[in-house]
Amino acid sequence: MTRNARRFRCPESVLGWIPWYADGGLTPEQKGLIEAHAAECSDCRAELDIVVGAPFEIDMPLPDPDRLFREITARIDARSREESTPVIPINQIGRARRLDDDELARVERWVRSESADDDDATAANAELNETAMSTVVQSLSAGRTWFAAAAALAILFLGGVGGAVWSSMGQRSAGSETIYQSATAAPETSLPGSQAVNSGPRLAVVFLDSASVRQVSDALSAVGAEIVSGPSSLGVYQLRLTNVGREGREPTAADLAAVANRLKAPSSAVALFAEAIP
Amino acid sequence: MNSPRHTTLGRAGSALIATCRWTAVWTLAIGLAPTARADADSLCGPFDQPYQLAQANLDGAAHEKAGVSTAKNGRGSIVDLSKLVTPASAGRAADQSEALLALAKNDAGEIPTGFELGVGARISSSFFSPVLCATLARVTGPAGATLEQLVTIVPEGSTVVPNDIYLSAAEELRPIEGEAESKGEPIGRVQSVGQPDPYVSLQYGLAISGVREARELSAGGGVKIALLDSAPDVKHRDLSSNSVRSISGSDAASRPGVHGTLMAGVISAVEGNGFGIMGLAPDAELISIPVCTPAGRAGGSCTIFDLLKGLDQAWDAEVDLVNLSLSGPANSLLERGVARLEELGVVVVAAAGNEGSKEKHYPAAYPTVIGVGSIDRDGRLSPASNRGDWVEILAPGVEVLSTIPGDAFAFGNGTSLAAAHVTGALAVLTAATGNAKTARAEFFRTVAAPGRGPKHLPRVCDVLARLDLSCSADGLATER
Repeated sequence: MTRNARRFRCPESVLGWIPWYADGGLTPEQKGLIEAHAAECSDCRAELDIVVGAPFEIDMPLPDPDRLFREITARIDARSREESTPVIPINQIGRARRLDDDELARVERWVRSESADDDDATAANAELNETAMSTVVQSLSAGRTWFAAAAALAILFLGGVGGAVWSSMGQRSAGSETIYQSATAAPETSLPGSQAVNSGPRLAVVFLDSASVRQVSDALSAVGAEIVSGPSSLGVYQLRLTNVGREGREPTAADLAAVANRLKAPSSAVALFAEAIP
Repeated sequence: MNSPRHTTLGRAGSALIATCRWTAVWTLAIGLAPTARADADSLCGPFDQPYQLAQANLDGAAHEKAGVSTAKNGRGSIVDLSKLVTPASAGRAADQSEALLALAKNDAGEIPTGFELGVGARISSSFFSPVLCATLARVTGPAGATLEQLVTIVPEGSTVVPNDIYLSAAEELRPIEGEAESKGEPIGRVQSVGQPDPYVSLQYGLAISGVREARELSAGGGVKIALLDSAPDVKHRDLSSNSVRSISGSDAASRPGVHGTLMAGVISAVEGNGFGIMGLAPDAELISIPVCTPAGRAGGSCTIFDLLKGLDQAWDAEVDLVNLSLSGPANSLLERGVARLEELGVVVVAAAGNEGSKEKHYPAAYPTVIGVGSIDRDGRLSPASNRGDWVEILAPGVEVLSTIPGDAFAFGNGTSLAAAHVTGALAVLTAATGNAKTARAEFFRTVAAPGRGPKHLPRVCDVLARLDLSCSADGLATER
């Protein structure tokens, strides 16, 4: 039944990178590949227009991470309706909320159908990291935690913190140490990436509502920390220390405490909560 | 004709019987332990169910082979346990098996001594429990022994159960311990009375329970809560040593554990000290009774023996509420213990467990206990929370911020934290109503709704309103 309906043609392997394109986080070569593909693919073009048409302002308050999620799910819903798939109302979504089984199945079905009979394969597909989206799909299945909220914020931080974030974001493969190592499938996120930097002590941080992206970005640069994952449903981010790591030693408890205190300091106006985690 | 025990043991049998009996008698605490409270005694009686072999522990084949009789005639067999090969009972360490022998007072008010232990079995510890009205003996024997092999003769009206292990039920985001907190006063932390607690806005459990609106009416003052858990870090700056005290005496480790510290913070972290969080019932007296040994990142394991001992200590300390953030298998002695506490006016709250299962977990599933499952900030059932009609209340248990050892804080997950929320809310209500059972009754009347299954934690002020105690709109409560 679904195969006869007009399908959204933009392949997942391109779609997954469009947010990063929009933020300027891709290399010129990667951007060129996306553009080349979009020139021939109207769906990808439309997608690119949506995202690029809504640029994030670096000085705006931390955004509601629901937004991207809502946009994506609204589209999934719309297409599900076209395809006579039962529609589940999911507009009451909180940030980083868990998908229930039906929703999870639906998102997974959609993602897989997009990549399964993907006859739009272009040079872009080949060049871009195919494994990235499958990682996301896996984490979606395993962790049941929607990643869009984190992706939205990750985009914001790419500009401010630079390449270090890019290379280190979301190295949270299944089975590795996680924030909440429990049977509770605690909020956690996974983002595409390729380099294992999962080890080492970390901080749990909740930013102040009043903190702007620039303030957060500057504060993290100043203390040599970067976001590894988040936000959880309560807005908790996980940070790791970058400067100490590069010196070839593990950050000590004192290092973490010092950074936590700097972030929490009233003068920095960035973090409400900052505590060390292993 | 030889009895089975003689075929097994040969001529040494008779001597062994005598030895075992003497060992048993002389190591058993048959006297009444001095307690501050004697009022439990009036409710004493024999166990409802006379001795029965626990079906779960019966290994039919081994049973027959060893020729163990079921001791109906008052004289049982002695079995050489070293010659038996039986599957180890679940949850028991490899090198030992354990049972609990509960010897109930008979009609004459005496503790019966006519029991017999199997060969290789010994009483490693015992005490008289006023809550159970029985002497409780911990019987230790070789690995793989069944209950009836450990205790071969059980007097009428007494019982034998496995010394089950209960697990405390939380997972947390654990910070680095040690150095971090020894670096002096952290920036932005001012410890003085009347200062707002900086992390309060992250404690959504305060809002869900509505305890802050009732503060003028009650913050749990005068209420005693027993926390049967791992020992909390009473030196934590957000846990007042005045209100959190520890009772030692169980076999569990007394070193501070993450789990117990998390629970203590949710219930009674100091309010208005300009540091960290506030508890739901900061004025209540939290009496820590360490019965669990810390295990893993934020867990603990607690034997039924220590747990029962802890219930006695809780009774002795005249508590109003008992928090049991742990779960495990059904156990008739635990069932009796919590039921007796309920009879005696103590309200028991327990975590449903974190298996995401509909299967009953205990003590939460006992009718005399308030079983608590966990929800998140938006009131959705946590996937990991156990569920089913046996779960009565749903309370915050996802990303709950609380104290952990070393003046630190972490977000914890689990029905343990949910149970602590219910205990804290009940403490506030108990202080306002003057009676834990009244508080519980109104608590449940407030949530009474058609349909089965667990109900969401009611707002404290909604419960108080039923008692003509109202919280005013501006957060100050007044008596009508």
